[in-house]
Amino acid sequence: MEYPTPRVTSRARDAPLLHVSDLSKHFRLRPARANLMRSIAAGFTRAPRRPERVALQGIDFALARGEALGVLGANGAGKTTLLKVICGIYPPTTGSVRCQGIVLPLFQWGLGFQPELDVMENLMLYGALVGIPRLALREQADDILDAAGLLRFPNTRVEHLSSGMQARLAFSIAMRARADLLVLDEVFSVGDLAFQNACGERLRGRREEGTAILLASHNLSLIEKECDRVLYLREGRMAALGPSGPTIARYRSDAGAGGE
Amino acid sequence: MDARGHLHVLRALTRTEFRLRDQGTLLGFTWTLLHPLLLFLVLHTIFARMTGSGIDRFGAYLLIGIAFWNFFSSATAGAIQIFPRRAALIRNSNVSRTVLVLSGVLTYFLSHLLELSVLLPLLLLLGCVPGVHVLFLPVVLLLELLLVLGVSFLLSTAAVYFRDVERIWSILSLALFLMTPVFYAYRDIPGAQRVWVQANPVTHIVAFARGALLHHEVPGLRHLALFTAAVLALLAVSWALFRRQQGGFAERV
Repeated sequence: MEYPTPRVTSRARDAPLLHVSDLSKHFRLRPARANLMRSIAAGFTRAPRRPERVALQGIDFALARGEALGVLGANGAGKTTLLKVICGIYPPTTGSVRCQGIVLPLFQWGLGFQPELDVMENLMLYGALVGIPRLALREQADDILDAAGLLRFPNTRVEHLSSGMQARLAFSIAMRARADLLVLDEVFSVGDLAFQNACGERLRGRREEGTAILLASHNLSLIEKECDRVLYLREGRMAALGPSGPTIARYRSDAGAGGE
Repeated sequence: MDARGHLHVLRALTRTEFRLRDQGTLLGFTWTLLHPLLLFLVLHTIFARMTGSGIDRFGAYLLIGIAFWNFFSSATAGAIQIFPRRAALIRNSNVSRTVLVLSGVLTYFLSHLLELSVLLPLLLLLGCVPGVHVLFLPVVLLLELLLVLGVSFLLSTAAVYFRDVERIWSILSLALFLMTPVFYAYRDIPGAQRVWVQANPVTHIVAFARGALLHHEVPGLRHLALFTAAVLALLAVSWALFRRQQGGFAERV
């Protein structure tokens, strides 16, 4: 496997926030029809191990505070799996992930929202889930609602909001979470242009405060605009890791050549 | 996330679960109280003249049995659904899995407490006048909470890997109900079968609760110590198993 040596910035050497070393993730494939009796029988007999799918192999990189790393790759290249292992949602098969701070996964705006409950109740619930203390949530509730354009609707059921409005509410809450690393997976595709611009602006603000960003997306111009470096994954391996421009160009040329 | 953060999430999730219980039903929260009362009416109508004929203040005896059985039964059945119901959250966030189980059980525990606060005046009408032994009730509630937590950690973990758990537990739960002296007296059980009823932890919880509320007695120290040790051992084992398995939940749920 060939890929450029990870270019670790001087900032990363000084204060590395995230270290991913020799990471691999294998999924054991489950039979289409799981069967309790067969599973129990397999426990007593020497049943052959189920086949595995290698989702990630040999992933190595570091991320500094305030840095933004884009993650690119075709569908099934392992982007989401990598982000989930980094967030601790999936355990790694081998290798390690070390993070010197709070990691906040944002894979879906409003994850955990209860449609039957109103905006304010969901604000308190989602705020708790993303780690904002209760007092801070109460103090900032009006600001959050204002930023989401929902100041006049605290008692409206969330199911009556459009998906774009729900995303705005979730985004306004999540951006107030105390996190050292925000891990975002394709969350910019919802919402209108104004929402996407606001997201970009707020992310840049967070980076200035020292929050690092991991951003997986198929939107190449977004990655180029927001990220310093890009990790290009191909079939679970690092195809390239380097400055955004050249790495995206390589991904483009691979995709154009039918390599992806 | 620190302990305070986890507590905050626990509180928020429990509050939400509690608000959402019986959502969409015509009677809403009333069902929480109505369900044990209706079960009481059915069992009282059927058994008052059968198994209940020799039991002193059968109404109160039955009601206490139902209330304490009901919490065990509904909370453990609910535990099976904790992860499947929150599959999206498990797959896409690192919210503590332990906190999810705790919030599921606490929601039922809160309902149980509310239910008891309504049933206590009713018990007075049924001839049950609590004495000083009622002070033992919080200990009974704590023991039952720990027992339910122990069972819930086991069931919620198993349910992630085998959907069959729901069906198996519905049968086992029925067997446990029949093995708990809710509508019959322990002394009426034939000798050979007493060992099964004794091995059922809910039997002891119901007996402790009746002692505190109805019979004005507390269990002997040896009995209480043995039972507490068994409950703590179950909790320790199921918690250890849960901790070992929870890393794989997001891949399996």
